[in-house]
Amino acid sequence: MKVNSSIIKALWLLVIVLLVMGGRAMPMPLLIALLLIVFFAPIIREFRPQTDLDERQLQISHLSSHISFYVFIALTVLVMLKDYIGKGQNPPPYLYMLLLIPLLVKLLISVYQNYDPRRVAFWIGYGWLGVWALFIVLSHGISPEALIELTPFLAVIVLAVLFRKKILISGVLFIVFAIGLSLFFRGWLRLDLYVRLLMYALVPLPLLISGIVLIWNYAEGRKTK
Amino acid sequence: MKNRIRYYRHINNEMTQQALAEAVKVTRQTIIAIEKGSFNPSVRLALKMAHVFGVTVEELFQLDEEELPKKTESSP
Repeated sequence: MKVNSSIIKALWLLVIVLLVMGGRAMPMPLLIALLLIVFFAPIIREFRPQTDLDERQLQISHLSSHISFYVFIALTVLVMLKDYIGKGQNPPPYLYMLLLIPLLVKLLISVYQNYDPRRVAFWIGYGWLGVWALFIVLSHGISPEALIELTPFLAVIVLAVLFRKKILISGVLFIVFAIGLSLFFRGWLRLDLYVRLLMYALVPLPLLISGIVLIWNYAEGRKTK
Repeated sequence: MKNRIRYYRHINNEMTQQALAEAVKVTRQTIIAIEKGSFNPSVRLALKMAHVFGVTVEELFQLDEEELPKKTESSP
């Protein structure tokens, strides 16, 4: 067993070395296959039903991933700066996507791990709805048009406040609103793929996650009763 | 944090690091790191190690003097 695991580790390292040394010269399908191996092998090892890593190995794995994340962000910013200095234009959308989606994921995980998930789900829900309401007021001013556009947001906020104690209802409400928004903004499907990913990650995703967390909490609460 | 793992391994028939690692289901490198003081084990792992030697966690691990929190007047 130990020998097998050493062979697997050695092969994995070999794949990384191959990628670093010959990545640019490789045919695309081979490059993608090797990248998938390099990316998924440690994840599978860490998250399969019962990890074979002990607590120190997990700590090392998490620290290395954490540092890699900051390196990734720093490199993306460097590319954005180089683009801006070289061409005098704002960077292309895929760079924003590469920068913002991982930051959003980190933010959501950190907040949910740090505080009571139920409370955070409400913060995100209210915060998100508040930001959009503000956005509407800023773009239309205080006018009948803004009031009409604000109605669904205000309705969801009021309902969520009313059903604050009923987390199942609040969770369903957030999910329905997130799906509704996705349908409302279906025009985004015509946008560039990277912009689309960014918009869906920034707009309905936080609400959707909040809804799922609330329903999850409800189910957990029932299980412990 | 100080530890007496080396001592307890010694008085337990020179138990090897590998044997201890297998008993508590971690790698030998983790035992080495704990013995050297470069890795602090979780409470769960510390309890498991203490159980293997038949001692309490306090007998196996001790905080250095400067790491101990200052006692307040209300504390016993």
